[in-house]
Amino acid sequence: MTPAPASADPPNETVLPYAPSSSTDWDKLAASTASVELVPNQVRPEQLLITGDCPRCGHATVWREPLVKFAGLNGNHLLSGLLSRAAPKTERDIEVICECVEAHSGQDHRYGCGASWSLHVAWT
Amino acid sequence: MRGVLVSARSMDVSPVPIRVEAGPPSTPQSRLLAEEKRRQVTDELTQLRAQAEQWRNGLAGITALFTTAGLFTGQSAVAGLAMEARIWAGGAIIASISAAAIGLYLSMSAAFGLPVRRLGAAGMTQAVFGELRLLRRTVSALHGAMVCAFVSLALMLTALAITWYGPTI
Repeated sequence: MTPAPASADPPNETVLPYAPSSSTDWDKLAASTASVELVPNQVRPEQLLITGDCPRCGHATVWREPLVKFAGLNGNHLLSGLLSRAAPKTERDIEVICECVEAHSGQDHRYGCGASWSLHVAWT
Repeated sequence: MRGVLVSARSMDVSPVPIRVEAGPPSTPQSRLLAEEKRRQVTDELTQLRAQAEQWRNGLAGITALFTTAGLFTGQSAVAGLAMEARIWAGGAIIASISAAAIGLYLSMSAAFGLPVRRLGAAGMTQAVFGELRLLRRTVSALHGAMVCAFVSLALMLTALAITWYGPTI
């Protein structure tokens, strides 16, 4: 991953090219502006829905952090389910990748400018 | 910088406070993991449906086999049995084929979905909520299909045991 210039300045007016990058300043900026929701409910959440503006390109972005997995189970899900119930995790470090719908030149994915930032989310 | 946000859904009794802080610095590993999670969120339903399709194929085979076996051998197999044994064997065969048929329906429902009239999502949260509900229902239908497959097999073995070892006339 390419280190990004450490800057928490407001995003540029021009559309930045796609670049996989991260910055600790972006982490701080995103933590102050991100909105987090527990889906489908707060008692047994299955996903965290993180919305906010990308700290690099400034476009609105949505990140879905899966807390459970459904597909690809091979029979040991009963044990893992019991374990997760016994010690439910209520905090998590989350790497969020920009998923904005703006066209960024050089995109290797359908969405986003390539930036990623790290959040620590805790709920009770 | 630290922000304290509150998740408020009207259906919940009390909102859960959610604390958001800057996380540990990004690494190539954490980026890779995030990309994997993005793929999981995008592909999970497709993967589940592919699994359900395989189960449907298996159940269709079982149903076809049992129905054919029941049709061609049922009458002659129970001919020499006492009336009570005939009733039990016939009941077990019918129950077995019924369980296989229900399993087939459930696995097809999991693999292809069941079109129903539903209000469209009004927001992102509702859209995600609907998708998670669909995932849960797909998993439930798939599990139901698996249970039906084994119940069907057990019932057919019971019918077989009655025809072999049941009281004769």
